[in-house]
Amino acid sequence: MVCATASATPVVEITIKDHLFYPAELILPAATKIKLLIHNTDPTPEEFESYELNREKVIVGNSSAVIFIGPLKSGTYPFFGEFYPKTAQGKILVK
Amino acid sequence: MLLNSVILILQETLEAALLIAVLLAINTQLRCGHRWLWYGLSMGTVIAFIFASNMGSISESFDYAGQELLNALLQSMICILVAMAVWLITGLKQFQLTDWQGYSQRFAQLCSVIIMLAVIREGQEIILYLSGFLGSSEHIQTVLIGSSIGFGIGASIGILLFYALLGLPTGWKKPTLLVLLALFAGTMLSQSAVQLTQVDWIKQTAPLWDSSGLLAEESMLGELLYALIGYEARPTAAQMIAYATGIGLVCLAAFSGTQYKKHHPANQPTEVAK
Repeated sequence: MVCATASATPVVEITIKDHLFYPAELILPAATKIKLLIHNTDPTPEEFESYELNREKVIVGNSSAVIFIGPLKSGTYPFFGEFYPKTAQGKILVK
Repeated sequence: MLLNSVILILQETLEAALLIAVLLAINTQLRCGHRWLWYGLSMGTVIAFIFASNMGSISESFDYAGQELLNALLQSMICILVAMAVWLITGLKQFQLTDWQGYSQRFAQLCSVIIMLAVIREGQEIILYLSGFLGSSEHIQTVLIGSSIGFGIGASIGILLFYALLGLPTGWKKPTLLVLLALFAGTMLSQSAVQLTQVDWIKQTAPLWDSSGLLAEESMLGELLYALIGYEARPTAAQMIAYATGIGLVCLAAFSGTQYKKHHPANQPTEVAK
C-alpha cells in the first residue's frame, strides 16, 4: 500500500468508486510525510475533506489529485467525501 | 441528501455573505451606492463557471498543485485588496462623504473586485457540486431544494449582520467594521497558508493547539466563526503567522491612510448635505 524509495515521499493511493473510498481504512506510519494520490473513478466530482487533517480538495470526475499529509502523531484521522458524505467515509490510522 | 446540500451550500455561501454584509455596511455609510456589488457578483459567477469547467486541467497543472495555487492566489489578492480598501477609508474626518478625490468611487471599485474574487473562490465549488447531480433525475430536485435553503440561510445571516452593523452606535460603527475587515484579511492569508501546506509548498508542522474538544469546527458556531473570524481548531504556526500578517497589513494600511490624510488636509472631504 505504501510505496516509497529511499529519498522520496511515500505515496499512498486511494480510489473513489461509486462514492466509496477504497481502501476506506489506511494504516500509516507516524512522523512521516505522505503523498496521497487520490483517483476519482466516478464521473461526478467529489471533495476530499478531513477536519482532523485540515485538508479539503475538490477532485473532478475521472481525474486524480495529490494531497500531502503529515508528519502526524499516532491517532485516528477520519476523512470523508463532502459531496457524498453518507457513503464516502474513511479513516487513516497513524501508528 | 437534502440536509447535506443545505449544509454544503450554507458553508460555501456564509463567508461571502458575511464579507458582502461588511462591505455593504461600509458602502452604505459612505453612500457609494450598490452597483459595485452587482458587478462583483456577476463577474465572479461568470469566472467561477469558467474555472469550474476547467478544474480538471487546473488541478493537474503545477504537478497537481494547480487548484491550491489558484485558491492561495485568490485569497492573497483578497487580503491585499482589503488592506488597500482600508487605506482609502481611514483618516477621514467624517465617515460619510461625498466623492472625495474620487476615493469613494475607487473604494466601490475595489469592493467590486474583492466580491468578484470571493465569488470565484466559493462559486466554483458550488458549481462543481451541483454539476455532479445534473445527470441524476433521482437527486437533482432534492439537491436544488437543499441548495436553495442553504443559500437562503447564508444570505439571511449576511442580511442580519448588515443590519446589526448599521444599528451599531455611531462611535462603534467604524472600529467594528475595520476590525472585521482586519480579521477577514487575516483569515484569507491563513487559508492560503493551508492551501500551500496541502501541496507541500509550505512545510507541515504539528498544530499549535487543538481546541476541537472545546469548539468543533464542524459545529454551527464553529462554522460561523470560521467564516467570520477564521476560527480553526488545529492551526499550525504557518497559519498563525499568515493570520497575523494579514491583520498587520490592514493595521499598517489604516495607519498609513490616517497619516496621509492628516498631512494632506486640503484633500479632506466635504460632508454630505443631509
